[in-house]
Formats: sequence, structure tokens, C-alpha cells
Amino acid sequence: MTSLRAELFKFSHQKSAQTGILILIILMIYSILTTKVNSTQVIFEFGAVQWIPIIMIAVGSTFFAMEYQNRTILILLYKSTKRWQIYLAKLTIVWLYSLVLTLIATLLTIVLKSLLVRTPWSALISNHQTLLTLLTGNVIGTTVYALFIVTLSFMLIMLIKINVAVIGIGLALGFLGSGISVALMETFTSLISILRWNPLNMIFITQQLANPAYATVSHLSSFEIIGGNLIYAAIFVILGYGLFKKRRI
Amino acid sequence: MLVVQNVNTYIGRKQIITDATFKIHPGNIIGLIGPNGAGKTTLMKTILGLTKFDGQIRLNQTTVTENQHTALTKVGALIEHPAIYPFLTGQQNLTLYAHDPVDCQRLISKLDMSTYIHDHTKDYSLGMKQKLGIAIALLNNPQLVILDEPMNGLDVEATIGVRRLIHQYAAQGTAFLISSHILSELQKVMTQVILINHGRIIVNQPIAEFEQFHHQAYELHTENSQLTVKLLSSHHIQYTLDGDTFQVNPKSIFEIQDILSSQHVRLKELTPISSSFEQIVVHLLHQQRGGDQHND
Repeated sequence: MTSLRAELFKFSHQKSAQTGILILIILMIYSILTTKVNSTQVIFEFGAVQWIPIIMIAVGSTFFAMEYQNRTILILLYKSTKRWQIYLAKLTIVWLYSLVLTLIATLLTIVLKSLLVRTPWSALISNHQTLLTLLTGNVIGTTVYALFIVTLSFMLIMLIKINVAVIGIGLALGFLGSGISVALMETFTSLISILRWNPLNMIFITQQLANPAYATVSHLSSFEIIGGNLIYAAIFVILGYGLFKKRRI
Repeated sequence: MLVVQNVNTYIGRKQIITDATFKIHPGNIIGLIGPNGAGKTTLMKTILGLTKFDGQIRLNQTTVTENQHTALTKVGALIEHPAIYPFLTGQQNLTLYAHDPVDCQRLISKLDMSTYIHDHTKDYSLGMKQKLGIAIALLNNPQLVILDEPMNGLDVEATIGVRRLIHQYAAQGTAFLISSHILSELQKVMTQVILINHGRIIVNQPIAEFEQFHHQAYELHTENSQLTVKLLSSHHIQYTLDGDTFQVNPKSIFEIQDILSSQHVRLKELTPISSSFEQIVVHLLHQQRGGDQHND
């Protein structure tokens, strides 16, 4: 089997892949039951925009950590002629999984909206944008941020080596990251030009592409925030792979 | 086929293997033995290009390094624990690496795994996992197989089955490097022995030569024990005495015979004490420790 096919085979047979999908659906339904259902809920895919990155960090780090737990990394490494292929194959599969999650969330949003929200897709919601445009913006934002999150989770599992700790960091990022970033920029206003590039600020991509007004919070334009996410993803891949190469087995 | 030349392995800054040199030819079954922490697993990992090392490792004239694994495509390995995915069945674990489904099925039946091969491996016993690990190592007709403690957790029947399989593969030209703490089991399969201690290879010999060469002592009976004691002592020949039985070093037996003969002391018995393989190994390790202390 090629690296990519082998990784897909393993990933699709892991429970965490199916559990991730199940958790996402449950959390979206939980959102409907506990929060007022309106067009804002639709734009944010009933909370999926926030939940997908958290699920991704858990699934991503678990997928790499299990190779070390089961000692299968040994065969994987000695049989591979190019070590980077292992890292990139795993990264690609987990990122593709984030696309699957986003697709499921979007389809479920469309179904739930048709059942629960009467506002038409063409209705102007904010900044003269339709409900559909806003949802599309959020979907694209989530996809780009997933790349940031997946590369970060791989780097963290190489650095910390403890899966639970990485998942904890993921939860902290998901719930507190944006708040800390805003607090930092409000406290050190003179340093905003630098602080706006901090990694915690990148999470705003999940909202800003739909609602450009968020630029006043993130202090980054939509173009800058996409670039920032991609550059951070590249840095995390380089650092993560470096750690992977050096990791003792 | 495999040439290991002046290999030094480091983990961090610590040197684990020092100046290892040996060759493995097709069909050889090499027993790698040594105490815990001697460097057996590290040496195996080094051959698989999984550690930092200097020196040279060549497999079929192709160099193996930490970053160059092309030569290892025809190598099978089971290191420390069976490397298997618990969320996959035994069959799926094999499919991940198998090039030929027929070869895969043959191994399943030879290792008697057919009844549970479609079950998830998380439910396997230690022995079942071990057999699957051995099957993975033997997939795709490898030229070299590295097995670290392969008999761990195997019952008697499985042990005999694995031993038979090793002989079959070796007869077809597959070479084996096997480490085990169960020396009696290793003794039944190996054709050559490598003894390693403190990261250094101290013995590398064909098994028959090894057993012959390392007989530890001779037993000696003479018709006059008191005079024999005097004669051996005066010629500074080392011995131990238990009742009327002397134990002497094999290197001294010709000299002893000459001395006793010159004093007309007749021999009643002079026989080699047969030592088990285990005893020889323990003696050699003990001897090396003594040497190390002496050198210190």
C-alpha cells in the first residue's frame, strides 16, 4: 500500500474518526436545544464552526500518538524510504477529515435550517450580505483554520508527546484563545501591529470571512488573516516534521 | 548479505554499541545473546536504520543509514513488542504490509491463526499478538528477518511451530538475527552465536565451534591426591579440589600430564566437564566482568 492509502485505511478503521462525526452531530443538536434558533445559528452552522477545530485537534493528535502507543511507528519508519511521506500522508488524511466534518456540518445546517428557520437564503443579514454568503464565508474560514489546527496538533504531539495534554491545549485554544488574544491587544495597544499576528488571533478567520466587520477585533484584513493562517500552518509543519525526525523510538 | 562494520551507536550522547563488526550470510540463523541492557535491541534497531550511528552497515552491497532505507525493503522485523494496530483485525494488519495475498494466507495457516485472524487484535492474547508480529516479519519472503524475543508468550506448540518456520525460511535462504533470553530455545535453531556485553561483541562463532572451544574445565583423578596437590602448587597451576576430584583449566591439561608422569603419578581419570550452553555463556560473561574490573 502507498503511504496515503495505508493512512486512509488506518484512519477509516479508527473509532475516533466515527466518534468525531457523532460528537459533531450531537453538539449541533445540543446547540439547537439550548440556544435560540435564528439566522446567526445558521451562519455558524449551529456551533460547528467552533466545534470542528476542537474535534480536529483531538482526532489529529490521537492519530499520530497511536503509532507510538502501539509501537507500529517502528515498522512505519524502517520500511519507509522517505520519512516526510509518513508525516505528510497523515497530515493530508486528517485535513481531508476536517473537510468531511465541514461537509457534514454544512449539509446538516441546510437540513436543520429548512426545518427550523424561515429566513430565506437570499435574505440580507449584515453588511448587505445574504445568509448564504455568510454561511459560505464561515465554511471557507473553518476549512482554512482546520489546516492551522491540524498542523498545530501534529506539532504539539511531537513536542509534548502526551495526547491528553494536546487535547487540553486544543480545548483551551477553542474556548479561550480568541479572548486572550483580544485582551492582549487591548492591554498593549501600542503593540497591536505585532500582537495582531499572534497565533491565538488566527481563530478569527472562522468568523471574519463571513463578517468582515470582525477585522476591527482581529486587526487583520481578510487577506492578512488567510495568509497568517497559511504561514502558521507552514511553520507548524516544518517544526513538527523536525521534531518527528529527531524523536527517539 | 549483511555486513556490519565498526558500528558505534549513540543514544543522545551515550554510546550504546561499540565497534560492532559481523557478517550474516543467506540461510544463517544468528543467535544474539547477552544480559539485559547489553545493547541487543539497540543493535537490531541500528541495522534497521532507526538510530544514529557511525561505521558501515551494508545489505546486499547497499548502504543503510538513518535516512537511507532502500535496502531494508526485503527485511522483516519484530522488535520488543508486536507492532500491531488494535482497531484492525489480524488479517487487516497483515494486508497493510502484504504484497502477495497468497503468501499472506500461507503464513496465516502455517502459524495456525485461521480461527481468529478476522477478529480485532485488541482481543488477542499475548501469544496471538506475538504470532501476528512474527507473521508480519515473515511477510513478502524477506532476505533478512530480525526477531527480538520471538518466543515471548508462545505456548509449547506455537514455539515448535515458529521454530519449524524459521528452519523452513532459512533453508530457502532467509537469514535470521534472533535475540532471546530463553537460551535453550535459541540453541535449537541458531547456527551461529553472537554474545554481546556492555555494547561490545565478545563472541562471534558458529555454534559447534563455540561449544567445543568454551568447555570450561576438566576433571582430574590421580592415584595420589596429596602428591598431586604439591606438584600442581609448586608449578603454579590453578585447580580446585573437591574430595579427591581436581578441577583444572583445559589450557593446563598437557602440562599437568607431563608433570604427573615425570613424578610417576598415574592418572585415573581426565575428562572434560560437559557444560550446558547457559553455563558457558554465564562463565564468559563472568570472565569478561572480571577482565573489565581488572582493566579498571
